[in-house]
Amino acid sequence: MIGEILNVIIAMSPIFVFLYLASLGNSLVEKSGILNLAIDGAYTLGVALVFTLLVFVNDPTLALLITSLLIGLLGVLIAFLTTKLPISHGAVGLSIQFVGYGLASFLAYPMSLKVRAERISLNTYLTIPEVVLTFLTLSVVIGVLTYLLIYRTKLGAAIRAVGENPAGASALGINVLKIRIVATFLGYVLIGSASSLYLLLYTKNWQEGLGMGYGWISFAISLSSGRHPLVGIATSIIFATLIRYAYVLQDVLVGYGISISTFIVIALPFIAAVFIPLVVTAIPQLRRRFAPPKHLGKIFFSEERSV
Amino acid sequence: MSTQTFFSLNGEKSLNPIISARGLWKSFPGVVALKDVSLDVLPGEIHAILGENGAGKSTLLKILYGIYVPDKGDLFFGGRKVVVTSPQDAVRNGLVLVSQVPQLIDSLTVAENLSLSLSQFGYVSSVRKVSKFLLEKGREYGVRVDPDIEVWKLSYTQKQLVEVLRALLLNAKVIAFDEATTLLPHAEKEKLYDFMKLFKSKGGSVLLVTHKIPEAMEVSDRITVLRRGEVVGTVRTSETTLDQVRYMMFGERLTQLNSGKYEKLGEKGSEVLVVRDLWVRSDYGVYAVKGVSFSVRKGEILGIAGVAGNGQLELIQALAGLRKSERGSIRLRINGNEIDVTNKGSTAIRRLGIGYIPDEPVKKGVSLDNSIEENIAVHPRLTRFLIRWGDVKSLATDLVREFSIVTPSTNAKAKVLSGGNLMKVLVARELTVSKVALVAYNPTRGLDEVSTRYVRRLIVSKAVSEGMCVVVASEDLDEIMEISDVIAVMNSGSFVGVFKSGVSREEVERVMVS
Repeated sequence: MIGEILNVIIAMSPIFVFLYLASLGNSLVEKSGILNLAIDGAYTLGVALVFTLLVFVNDPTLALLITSLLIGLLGVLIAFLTTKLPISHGAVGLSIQFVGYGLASFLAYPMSLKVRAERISLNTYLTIPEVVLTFLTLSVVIGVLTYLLIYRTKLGAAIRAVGENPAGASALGINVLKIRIVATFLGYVLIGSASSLYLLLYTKNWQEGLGMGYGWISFAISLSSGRHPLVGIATSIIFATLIRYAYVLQDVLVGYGISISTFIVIALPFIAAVFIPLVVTAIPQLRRRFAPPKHLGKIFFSEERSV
Repeated sequence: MSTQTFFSLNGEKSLNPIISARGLWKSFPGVVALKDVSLDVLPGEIHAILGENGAGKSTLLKILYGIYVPDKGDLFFGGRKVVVTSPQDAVRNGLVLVSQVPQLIDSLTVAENLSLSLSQFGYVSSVRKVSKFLLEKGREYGVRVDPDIEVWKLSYTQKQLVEVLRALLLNAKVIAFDEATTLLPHAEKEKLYDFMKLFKSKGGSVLLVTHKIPEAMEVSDRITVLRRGEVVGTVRTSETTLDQVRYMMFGERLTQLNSGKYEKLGEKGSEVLVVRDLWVRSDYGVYAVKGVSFSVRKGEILGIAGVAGNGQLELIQALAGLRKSERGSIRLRINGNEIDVTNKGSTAIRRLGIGYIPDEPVKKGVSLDNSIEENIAVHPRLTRFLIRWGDVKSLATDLVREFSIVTPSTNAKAKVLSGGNLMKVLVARELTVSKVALVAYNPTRGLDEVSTRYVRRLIVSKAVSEGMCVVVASEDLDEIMEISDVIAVMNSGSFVGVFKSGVSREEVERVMVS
């Protein structure tokens, strides 16, 4: 029995890790008031980047660190564009998403040809219990640290303040741009490491479009957990289960005489991504608790005539 | 040591000013807000800046506080010429602002809010440490606030106290109160006055920005009067009279203010608006209105008094169909028909002839990027599917004339208007459509004295001549006392006292704060 449970945990852990870390990143970014529409582009780009780097350095940890840092810098760019200039969060987010998709193919496609032609064997993480459980533990520890950062430190208070009421935060003495840059940097580092682990721990290889959609699932996880790092653990488990056991569900249902198309099975996590936030917002108590930051996605002008 | 000996009117000073502004100019698109304004704040004085709405008081303050940068002019703090481009700069120079709308973040705790201002705590320091520090300091200064309570749970006065505590923790040399005491009941006001005097006695200075003359007379040492962006003069409070200050403030328009009582109907008609056991939640999901029942008769004005944040806003929004009523009912009796309008939505309610005046016209009442005409045409009672622009234009022209709205044309975008004129557009539109009832929240906030009188008189006269019933909630107790037939005091979501007009102000205030 214990052995079976352990097997299930090990099977689900990689999925949990690459979803949960990105959802944590999204929560950090959005807590600071930046609407994170670029997440899926960044995720896809992260997957391509780590693959490209892996071909060169052939060390998964080094590739993961560099990718996380680079994606973190992408976050800084987003914070700067939406806060300093200021451009609409929608325009910035969606543009960067598509740039991310394009750049991902541009970088990784030649590499994938090279890997095939030269029969390069990629040095990814082994899917053995020791490794998988280490990453599982690490991601939960990072979740708890993120929680402590957001709710127990002055930096966390500042991040929430600039998301709720940047004008008020500015009057209290907070540099809105600086805090948003810190929050998006940390958030995008997490998104970058999540996307790296998606490849290093799960797919182990790259193909065109790899990672696309997982950014959005992480986005949905973050939203349906009210951007709360600890609640996100539960929602991530739900989504990881759906991804891991969708086919099992299909088989079980066939046993009951119900057959559903494989295409629907593949789409299940995405259907859940729409459905779970819907359920959360439909329950008044949850809706209030999980309410988005008041200034999320709004442009912040520092000198505005007030009447 | 008498502070009076420090001051003189002809420029010679026995003390160097702690803040000095010289020749400040500031304009916004279409308006010159400040014209060559100079001001001196001396150590150990309470200096009032008095002026009507739109006189430039808050622009001046925002320049001192680094929120606006002046187009021209110099600032000196402690005799040193400085450039102040952010509130942080101002704070470093010893000026801290306590504003009318507390600049605190509602969803954060007191400690979290104040930690953001306190540079001695680094970004990684824990909020618990800040909490402990606040408890100690609060005890030391005699300002008691629970550091771990979320700000939205605090009353208005408590929020002001948090801001005062913040100013003290930042080692303020000058604390500026921007209309911060205007809306407080007298007993609460006294507490802040006492604090100001104490702060003064310890060598600090207070800059008291207000549009209420009695307030300036009561507590200040000197008064600087602003009118239309210019300094009319600075006087010593002990050497001036109320009438002199009134003349400085309003000039030749003073005569328009001296008007008698409002004409009131003796007998009211039948009940028009009947509210039974109404429960409404606040934005934070807790009940803000707890089982309120009342009825308003034809031609009657019900004034709802109370310290801000006691459920008045939620009640008014529920009546206007903008907030869900969880329990209870709102019924209208129009021409013998009883209509249940509970949760019927604002479009349906307003088509029945209910007018609604919110405060904060910029946020809730008009669309800034549309013209005055469009802002009128958008009302569901004036326009259904097709807009008759000709009718709208002539209505807009009438309203602009009748309300003396200052605008280039009826086709001008709302954003070119000043705050007071915007409010007039809103009030004009709503009074035109109100046939059955008018629901209002702070209907004259942001208006100058003359317009305020005008709007109040119009509300009363519509009630009298057209039999409209009125529910008006206001944070300005004077307003409630002035126009209401019945005064209900709201405290913690319930009506805690209902009085006939003619009740004493003290009696109402007593119930407001109990």
